Amino acid sequence: MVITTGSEPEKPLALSLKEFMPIPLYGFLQGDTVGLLIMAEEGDTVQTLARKLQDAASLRVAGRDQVQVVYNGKTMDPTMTIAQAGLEALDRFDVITG
Amino acid sequence: MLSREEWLPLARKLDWDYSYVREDEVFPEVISGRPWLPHSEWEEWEESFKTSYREYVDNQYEKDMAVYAVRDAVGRLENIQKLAAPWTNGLKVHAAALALAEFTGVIGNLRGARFGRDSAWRTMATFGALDEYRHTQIPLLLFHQLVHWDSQFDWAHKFYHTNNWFAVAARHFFDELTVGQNAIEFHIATNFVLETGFTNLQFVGLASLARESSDHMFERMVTSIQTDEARHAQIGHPVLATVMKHDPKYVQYLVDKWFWRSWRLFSILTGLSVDYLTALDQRPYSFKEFMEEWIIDQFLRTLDEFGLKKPWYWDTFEDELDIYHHMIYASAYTYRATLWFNFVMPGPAERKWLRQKYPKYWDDMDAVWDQVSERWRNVAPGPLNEFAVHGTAMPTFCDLCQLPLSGGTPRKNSARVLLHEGRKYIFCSEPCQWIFLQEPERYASHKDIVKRVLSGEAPAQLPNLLTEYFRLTPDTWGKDVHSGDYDWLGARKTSGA
Repeated sequence: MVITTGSEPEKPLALSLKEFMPIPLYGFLQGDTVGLLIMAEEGDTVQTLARKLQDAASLRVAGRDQVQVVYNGKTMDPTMTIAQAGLEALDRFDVITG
Repeated sequence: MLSREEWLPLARKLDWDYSYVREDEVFPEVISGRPWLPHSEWEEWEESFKTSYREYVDNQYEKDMAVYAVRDAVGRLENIQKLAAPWTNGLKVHAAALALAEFTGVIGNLRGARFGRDSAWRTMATFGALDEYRHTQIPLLLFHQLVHWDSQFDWAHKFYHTNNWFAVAARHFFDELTVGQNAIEFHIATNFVLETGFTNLQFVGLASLARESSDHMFERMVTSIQTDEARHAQIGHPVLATVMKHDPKYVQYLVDKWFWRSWRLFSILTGLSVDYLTALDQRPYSFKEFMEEWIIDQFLRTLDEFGLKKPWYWDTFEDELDIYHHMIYASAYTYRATLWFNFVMPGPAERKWLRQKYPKYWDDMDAVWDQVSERWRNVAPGPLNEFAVHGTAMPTFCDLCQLPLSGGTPRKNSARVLLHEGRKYIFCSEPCQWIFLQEPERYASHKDIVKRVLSGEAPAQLPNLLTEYFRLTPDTWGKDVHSGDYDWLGARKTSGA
């Protein structure tokens, strides 16, 4: 879906709504007792995703600096966006101690 | 005049040949169950109680009078108020989950009373339906008197009429087990698996805990119920024995499926009460020890007697005995406002006991409780700070059992994603996924709480989810029994109450 302005209908904005649509993901933090729903954005980096999950679970699991994100059995590059990493809605990812 | 021994067999075994309708029209497979067999295969159906209706009514009357007498003697409000607060919160779990679940048992038994394949089976199922009606009414009667003291007890009536996440899970279980089930699967699953195995946990185990906790009313109630269960549970054995002769693979499937489904629900219903909501000095055993006695020893022996194998996931089940209900309790404590009863944090003495009983994974659970304790240390104790020690992110749920994704261990959660006909499902464990895949058409359209939130069917904001969807109120949603005020937490900020 493309957003257009009222005054310049022929000129679409460069941003699409898709970029703002949160992507629900099942996050599992090592050490935690339950999986959590994490609402990510397509442009989030893998590192940001890990931080979101750690923050969400901080009541039960102490934060750690050195963590890795595992998706489909592979460790993800923390600088990749989740779109580049191939994560899609309702996928599972794990954050484990590195 | 005929003697009892002469007329009772005639009355119980009153089958006849149909002249104007086929037998498979009287007992359609879809509701009587499979395998469909002619009555000649069922005519040896027998059970040992052989009760007449008059005897049944006389016995039940005496049992009811005994319950009333105990209620009048020790079941008054002042007696209940003397019980330890964690225990009374365990009562709220059972008050809510038990009463109307038993009512669904009425429906299941009535199906057997009409569509069971032999008259003796149908007679016994009629008594079973009356039993379950009694098991509905007794807890409603006893717990309703407590509502004006503590409004959380209102959930004895309310629970199954809400979309609370645990009610969704319990309904998913009982709807399949009893309400929407054919007679054969109902009696094998309910009588043979659930009542031979798991309701012993609920009724025998909790009766002894109630005795230790000086809750003689609850002890008497569950003991009285158990005497009925022991009788009507006998329906399942001859049903299973007959089906075993014709389709043993199907019986094994039913046992595997219903053992897992029952384990999931009862590990929470019973496990939390035994290991957390009973005072430490009143726990005669751990949940795991009780499971080992009643399930691992006795149930496996029963399986062996019938030529059945232990379920294929038995190693997973045994491993879960050490961890699953602990994962659930810690998760539920940190989302306690989503439930209708209050929680207690295990202190150093409780954690020492839990470490002794559950050494395999307790280090991981201890780390979780250390972290939760630290949060209480950093905020002032008191009711105003409950939500400072509460989860805010949406917890997630299994697409089969509908319970939180708390399978596996804290180090490695066993959840698994499945793409099925273009839709993604997530399961807490391999057995839950396996059950789904055996009959996907049965389960695929059901939405767990997360999917309801994502589709807009349920509110996404926690306060709205609690009040509008889970039907909780600030008075009734779960809290810490002590509002975080535990001596063992040491010196902290001043009270926020």
